[in-house]
Amino acid sequence: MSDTVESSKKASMTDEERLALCQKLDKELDEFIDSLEKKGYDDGWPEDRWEEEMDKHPFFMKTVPENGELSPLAEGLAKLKYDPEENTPLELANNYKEDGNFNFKHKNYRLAVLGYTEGIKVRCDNAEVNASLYNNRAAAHWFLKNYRSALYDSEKALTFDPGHNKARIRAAKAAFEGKKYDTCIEHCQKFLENNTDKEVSELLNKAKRSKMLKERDERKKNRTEIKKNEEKDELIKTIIQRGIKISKCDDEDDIDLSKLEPTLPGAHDAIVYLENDILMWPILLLYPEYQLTDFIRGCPENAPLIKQLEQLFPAPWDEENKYKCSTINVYFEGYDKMPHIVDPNKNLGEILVSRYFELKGGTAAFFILPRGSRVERNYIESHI
Amino acid sequence: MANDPLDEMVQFLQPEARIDLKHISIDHLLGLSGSEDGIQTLLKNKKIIESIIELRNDKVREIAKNALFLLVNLSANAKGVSELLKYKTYNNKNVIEIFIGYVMDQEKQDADAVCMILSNMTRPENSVELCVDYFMPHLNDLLNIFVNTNYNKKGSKLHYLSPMFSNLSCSPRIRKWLTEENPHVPLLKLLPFCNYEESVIRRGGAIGTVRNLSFDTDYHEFLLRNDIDLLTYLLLPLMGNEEYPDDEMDKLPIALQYLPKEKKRDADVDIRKMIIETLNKLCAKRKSREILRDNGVYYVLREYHKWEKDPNALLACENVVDILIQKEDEVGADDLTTIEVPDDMKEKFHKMDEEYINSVQ
Repeated sequence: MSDTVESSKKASMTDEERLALCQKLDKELDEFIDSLEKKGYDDGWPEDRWEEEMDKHPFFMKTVPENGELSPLAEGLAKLKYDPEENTPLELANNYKEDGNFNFKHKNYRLAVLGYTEGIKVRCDNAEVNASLYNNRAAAHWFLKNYRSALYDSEKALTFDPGHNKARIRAAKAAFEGKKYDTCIEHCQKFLENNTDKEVSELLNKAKRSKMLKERDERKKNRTEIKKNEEKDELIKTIIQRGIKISKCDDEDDIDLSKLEPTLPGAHDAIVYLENDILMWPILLLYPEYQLTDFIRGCPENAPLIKQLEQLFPAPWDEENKYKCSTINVYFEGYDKMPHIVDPNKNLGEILVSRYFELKGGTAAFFILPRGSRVERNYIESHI
Repeated sequence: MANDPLDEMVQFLQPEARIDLKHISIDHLLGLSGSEDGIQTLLKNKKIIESIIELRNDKVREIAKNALFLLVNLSANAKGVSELLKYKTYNNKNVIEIFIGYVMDQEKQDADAVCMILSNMTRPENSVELCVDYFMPHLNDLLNIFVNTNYNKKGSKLHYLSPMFSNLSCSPRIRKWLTEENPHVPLLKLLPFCNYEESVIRRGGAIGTVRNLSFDTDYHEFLLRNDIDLLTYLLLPLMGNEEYPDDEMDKLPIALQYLPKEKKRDADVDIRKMIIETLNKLCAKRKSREILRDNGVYYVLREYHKWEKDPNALLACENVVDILIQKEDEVGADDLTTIEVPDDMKEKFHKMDEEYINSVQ
């Protein structure tokens, strides 16, 4: 029913009316265009900058925009190139390789690595393409100084193509940089089996020499360590033989170097040592009267203590000239916490094994006091 | 009745002969080859020798093995070598070529015996040039086989190729081959065997080769070239785990510095003597002497001398030390080989040497 009504309505428009409407629309369009013309066309690429504009267009762009964002159109195109459904694995691998090569050429080695990696992931069954993908990624790694990865990839390339000379040389070079000299030598020798190359021969010699040096250094380190340990054992053995009591050591097995290191600040390197089977001790001399001390390194156990004192007197601080070898008494503080007088004419070694003597902090300590003085009396009384 | 009882035996040695008879015959002949007289008897009978050579490939391993052992005995004799060298197979091959072919076959049993034959056959100096003619085309292959210590698949070690090379190096042609690039310098492949712990035979052969080269002063400059590293190979067997002061240690070739505690000197006195002899030869020219001094050879010999017990080795060592310890203006001659020693002096020196050796013993 309604259809008839509509058609009757349309039919009601006469030919003249239609003509008038057409003319009116034409005129309106003309007017519209006229109004446009006045503004002019300024959406187009300006003539002086068209190349720049072209680069920005997804169809033509050669590089990814700096902010890394792709326009939807560019993304669509990229998808087309890298879509697994649109490409065979070999095509994909080649496309990624191209992508890698492009970035490689522009020294974007990181991006190149990503490109080659994608290509490798495709696992196409073409050995040549795979060898080339790994070899190229090795090259990119090489420029990034990732020598381990460069070596790994070069060797991987060689599994696809054992005759790949570039990969062989790079493997050798990367192995050298990574200090894997044996691997480097192996690759150089493999290469030189079928080729002559001065650079590779030189690398081979360099690697052999570096390997020798590395091994020498290791041997030297081992030997020095062994020697040091032997010296240490010898030192401890001698101290035990002498029967010197060391504080904080319960028995002979308990003695080690840490208990013999002088505890005095700055004197830890003055530790007792052996010289021609003679123990050389550090000793500490204390002058309670002036609250001063003397520290002497390397005193031989077979020399009298007095010899050391002779070197020190007259002391610059001893204005009254009270401290002479003939006018002093020497004491040590025993493990009974009591002062014990010492005959300084005895050898140091003999004193170290006298009754109540105990070596504290790896250093033999002696108190020096003017004989018969008030200071001496005070010193003794302070212990009672 | 044949004049020679061996003639009768030839028929039992033919490939198609009964196995048990073949076996007994070759056993008997092998026993015969154990004595000088036996060898002389064998050598008189060409047919027997030919049959024995043919038996090297017998299907029964025991028979082939005994034939090869017999040839080892035969080739240990100088006359045996010259007889063997005359032999040619039906396809006109020389025994040397036959045995080289045998060694090259990775699947051959008892290749070690064949290596011994080759080593024996190259020993007599008067026929070494003849041998070299046959060896020349196969030298690189033989060296590669020698270097590949797992070459033979039937367990032969091929150690005796080492003394073979040493014997061959008596020939100037072999010395030239050893030292020229082709594409690699053959000597470089041989040198590591100077220190090859697994076999004294290989060590001896390698060091013997170097010694033969050192008899030729023309090669001294080559031998002492930096990249050859000869002194490293020569000094290592003379060194134990002794300690050197740092300044002396620094002079030694890098690979010899700070050797581990377990390092021992070569236990074979002949090898030690050959090395000393080589060092002695290398002292001939001033430039070489300077290289020896710069590499701390003197220090190594000094320590070695404290350890060595063998009087001959000690004397040889002192001779080298005497030269090295001098300054060049004291040595007074660029090339020691050019110095003429009067006969009476020679005799005197000889007597002094003898006295020294007796005094040490």
